[in-house]
Amino acid sequence: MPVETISDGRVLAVILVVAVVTVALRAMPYVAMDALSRNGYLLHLGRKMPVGVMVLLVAYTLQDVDLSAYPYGLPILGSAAVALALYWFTRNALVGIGAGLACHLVAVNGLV
Amino acid sequence: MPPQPISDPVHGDGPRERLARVLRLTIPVAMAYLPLGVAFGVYLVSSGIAWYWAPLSAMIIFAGSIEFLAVSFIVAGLPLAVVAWTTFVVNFRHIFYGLSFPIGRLRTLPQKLYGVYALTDETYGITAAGDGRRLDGTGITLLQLVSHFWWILGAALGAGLGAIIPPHIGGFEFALTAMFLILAVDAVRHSRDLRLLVYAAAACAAGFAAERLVAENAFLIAGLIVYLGLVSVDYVRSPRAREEAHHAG
Repeated sequence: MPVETISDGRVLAVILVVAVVTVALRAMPYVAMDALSRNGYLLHLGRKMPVGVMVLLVAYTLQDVDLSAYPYGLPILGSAAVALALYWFTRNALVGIGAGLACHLVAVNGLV
Repeated sequence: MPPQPISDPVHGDGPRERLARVLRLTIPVAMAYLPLGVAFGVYLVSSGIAWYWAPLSAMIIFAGSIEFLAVSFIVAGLPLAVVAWTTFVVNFRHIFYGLSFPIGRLRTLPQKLYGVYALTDETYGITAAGDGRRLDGTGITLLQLVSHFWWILGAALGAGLGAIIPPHIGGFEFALTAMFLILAVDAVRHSRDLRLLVYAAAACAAGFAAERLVAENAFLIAGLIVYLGLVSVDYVRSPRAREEAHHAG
């Protein structure tokens, strides 16, 4: 994608929005400490949201994978399987991400 | 690594020893932030964004996975309202960090402000529950500053690397998938509630459908709303869920 189509203004806008929301989230307890720590619904959400959010994000990155045409999504799905398996058994994030990424780079650039 | 005492008058440790101790605490953080930062920098550059935005983003945001996601938002041309909402939901867990972060130990206002600003998964983990939980205010601030530095350095190195890598070499966006896989595994292990996976599957299906049938970029909104709805219904309908939430919180 040519660099000219992504303007600096656009990049800055997204970065600032992400920054403001993130800092606001981190600061919220100091603004609403009592309401937060006693609100059962929010606490419930805090415990239940992560699984769904993370799984959704994985699916989000994979949603455009084309299973019907060569290479049938194998490079990315295979690499994802490698990352998943390695992290599940080693509990080492760098090993999982590193091996998966290496797989994907080799598959996409070398094999396909 | 066993927790180290903050200061030890018997062995007369001073600022240099304390700095060394803090630096040692950041080694696991550096080992994560440096390669992740490099992956981030390469991914950002390979997506067509100007290289200087990698270290700038790392300076301005100081988070991890959400910065990778921001790159995909920029490339997809996502409306800012959707960016804000998605950031809110993805980083929602940060709300709870403030509840157990030892902000009382940070004495000056700039330290407190930076302390909250730099409350990442890792700095929270170390200071609230990990080997840094007995650090004093200066130690905490140092820990956060050094961690932030590793992240910015990684991003800068990655941007540099990304500039050297020939443009026809692709596939770096996989770092995003891998990161979320790791976080998903962590979340599943931590929650021990397998029903959530069923809800997540339903949310993914809703996301797919919305993206294809309703509007472009609808995947995340639709998926998150469906998942949020399912989890909320759970809360309303199950008194045990309410009780568990109160005891855990």
